[in-house]
Amino acid sequence: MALSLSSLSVARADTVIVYVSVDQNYAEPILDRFEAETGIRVRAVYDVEAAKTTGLINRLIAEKNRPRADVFWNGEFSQMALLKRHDVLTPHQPRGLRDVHSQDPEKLWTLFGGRARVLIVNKERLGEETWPQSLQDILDTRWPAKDVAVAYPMFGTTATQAAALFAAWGSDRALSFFSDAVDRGVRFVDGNSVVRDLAVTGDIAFGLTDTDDACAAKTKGHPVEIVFPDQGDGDMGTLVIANAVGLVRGGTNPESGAKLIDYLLSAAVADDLARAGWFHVDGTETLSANDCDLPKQVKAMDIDPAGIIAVQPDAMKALQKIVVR
Amino acid sequence: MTLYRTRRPDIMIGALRSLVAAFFLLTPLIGLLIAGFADAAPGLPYPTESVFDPRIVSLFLRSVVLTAAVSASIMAISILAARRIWFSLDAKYRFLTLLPIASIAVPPYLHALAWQDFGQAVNDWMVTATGFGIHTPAEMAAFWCLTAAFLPIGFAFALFGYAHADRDQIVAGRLFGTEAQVFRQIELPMIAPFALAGGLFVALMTLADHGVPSAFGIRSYALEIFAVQNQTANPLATLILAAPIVLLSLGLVILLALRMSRLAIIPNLIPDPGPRPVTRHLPLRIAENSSVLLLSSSILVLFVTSLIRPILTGSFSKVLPGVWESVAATGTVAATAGVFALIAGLSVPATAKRPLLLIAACIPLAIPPVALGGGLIVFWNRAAFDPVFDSLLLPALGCAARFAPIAVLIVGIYRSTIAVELIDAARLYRSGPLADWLRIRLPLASGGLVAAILVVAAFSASELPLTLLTIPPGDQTLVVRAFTLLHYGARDQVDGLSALLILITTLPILFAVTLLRFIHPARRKAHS
Repeated sequence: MALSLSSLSVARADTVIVYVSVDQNYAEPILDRFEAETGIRVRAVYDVEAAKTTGLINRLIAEKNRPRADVFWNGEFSQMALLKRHDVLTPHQPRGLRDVHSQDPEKLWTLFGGRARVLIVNKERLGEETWPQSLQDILDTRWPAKDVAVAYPMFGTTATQAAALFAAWGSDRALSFFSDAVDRGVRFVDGNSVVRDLAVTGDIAFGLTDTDDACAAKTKGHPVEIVFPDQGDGDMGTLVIANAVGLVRGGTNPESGAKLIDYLLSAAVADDLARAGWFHVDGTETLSANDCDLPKQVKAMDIDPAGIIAVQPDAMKALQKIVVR
Repeated sequence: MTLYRTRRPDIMIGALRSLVAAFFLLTPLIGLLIAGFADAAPGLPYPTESVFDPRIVSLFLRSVVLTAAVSASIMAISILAARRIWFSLDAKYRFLTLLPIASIAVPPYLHALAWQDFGQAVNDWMVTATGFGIHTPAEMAAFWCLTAAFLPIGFAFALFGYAHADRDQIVAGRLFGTEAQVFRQIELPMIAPFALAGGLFVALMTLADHGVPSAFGIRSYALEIFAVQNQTANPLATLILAAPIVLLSLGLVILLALRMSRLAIIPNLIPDPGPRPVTRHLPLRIAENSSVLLLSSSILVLFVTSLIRPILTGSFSKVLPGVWESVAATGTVAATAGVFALIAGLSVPATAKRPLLLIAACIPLAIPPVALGGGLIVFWNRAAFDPVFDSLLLPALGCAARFAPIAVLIVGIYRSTIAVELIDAARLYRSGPLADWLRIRLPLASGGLVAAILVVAAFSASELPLTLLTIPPGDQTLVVRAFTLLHYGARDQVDGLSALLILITTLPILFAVTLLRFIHPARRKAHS
């Protein structure tokens, strides 16, 4: 009995279980390389956009009394607060943190890399002189409401951006923005990839999405262009959404988990993810991949992730009342 | 004394059966309660007051209206199409009518995408040919895509109804009444339990789906539940918000139980081929043919988009490398869930005489899958259960819990149709309970048992939210793979995976139909 338990623990020491809400096609090669370089077997569970990260967050919370995962690698950061509230994560100080990284004050997670929120424009519908340049253009009557799409702001990165607007503008102005969009008849759809697909087919003239979705469409040769909104003097800039990675409290392989986190935060992985088309922004520099041809610099919203996380619960409740009705 | 001797084993068997049923049906609910009350973080927002918010009430009512329209349309089309096909097809080809069940394995959202592609193609052709396009209102598009997605399940239930209808009564009716009268006064009451069960199931699946309405910009009550789940990650909060759905489904189950109590219990004594209508009733015939057309279109669009197109364009062969582990995982989860659900169905003595058991067994149908999965994790995540928790048994148990009520309904209805006279006759020859079961009950209910496994397996193959919560690290089902590719914009590969789902569901159906043809002689023997 003792022998079998011992062999079980040895077997587990060479394994790491990671829950990943980053798209599988970007994350899997990185995890495969980690496995090849370290000899630590990686067992991953991937989320899908249709579940809006809710699947893995719910799974981590449901498993918290006897955690099965060692590491959670999230494609955005705002829902990490929910894990913090449920005491799912444990403090961890990764090795080799760089200037571009930032940490939760309690070191429960580390932010790295990033995608930006962008406007995807159908070039066949709009000439360059009529491309929108600001988030406020979503409300501009120059573009008919049915030609503009935004993902539901209660989920995913659109929820993070909505919370950022609540933090930056205050709740009254942010609510008014979304309320006006709903009243005007802007199309609220089920995910950023749906916004991308509508722009690709020309069903909409432009929409709000992430750089990874927009770049995927552009590099495939679809007639779309990417506009970073609010880049002028005095404009607020666009939201850059970092990835977040945290160590799960009570995971069975904490050492292997820590090694994986250190690996994910390395400059080499950032380069790989940029080349693959997942990371597009590092600090204020854009990392153009796959001929996506992004501008060299991006003006990012000057906002503390902690501020976004703080306002998110109330913002989501308020938005739900406006959008789901 | 004799009375006690005969009753004690009955009580023990009953208790054992209840334990087995509770194991499959209630473990997620127990876990859900543990998660909600014992493990919930303090101060979490429980949306108890939200249930009475006018916005929520309005959203719920609109979703109920959409659901009612979808399920009523599905059952009307299904009954008429099943009638037309059942009485027109030669008996030896009737097995083909089960094939549409295979399309259940493609999730409703992918059905909707297939119809969007079709609509786009038609629109482009119209613009080219006439200069005018067609505009379908969002509500109508959502209604039709939901109808097309769930039509095969409604059709399957209607077929079960016709397969089990007492043809003696139909033949006798035709001697005295018109075709329309026979349909209204004899056929409909006999297939009503199946139609109600199908309608109930379709209604609950429609009410739980937010993907298809969202694809057309329609807000649904399911979206509200999903958003609350997203904000709170608390299964009990989700359950509170789902309470109106649970109550509604309980009402429908009570209606079904009342209907079952009036079910004719005379077994079918006339071998195939069945009687054909003698007189023609034109309006009925037009309605039947239209229904067959609608059913065919719903299946054809899916098959052309998700089966023929991927094969012709080569995307089917593109998805094959590296997909076999997912095929194995999908097959394992679906088949195991089917068997588990059947065991649950056989264990719940849910007949018209015990409507409360039927109602209790159907509760999991109304609970959001994410909440069900959370409960399942809390229940099974213990050291003693590691072999279950770390294997594909967990998603199979999840799918069984979610879809076992279908098996309970199907098996329950089939049980209600077995004539007690046959069992009494067998007992006269002093046969034991095992011989009763093997020689009388099994042959008579074989169709229902096989149908229960197939329907549950097909739904389990297409299940996403619960599977995501419970699949072991390193494993992936075809549906999870398909939705991953969908986000990446690889529609051709998604279509290829849909084709694979249809094919791997069709094979067991063909196998089951062949098996039933072998059992058929045994069934006739049981009657004689």
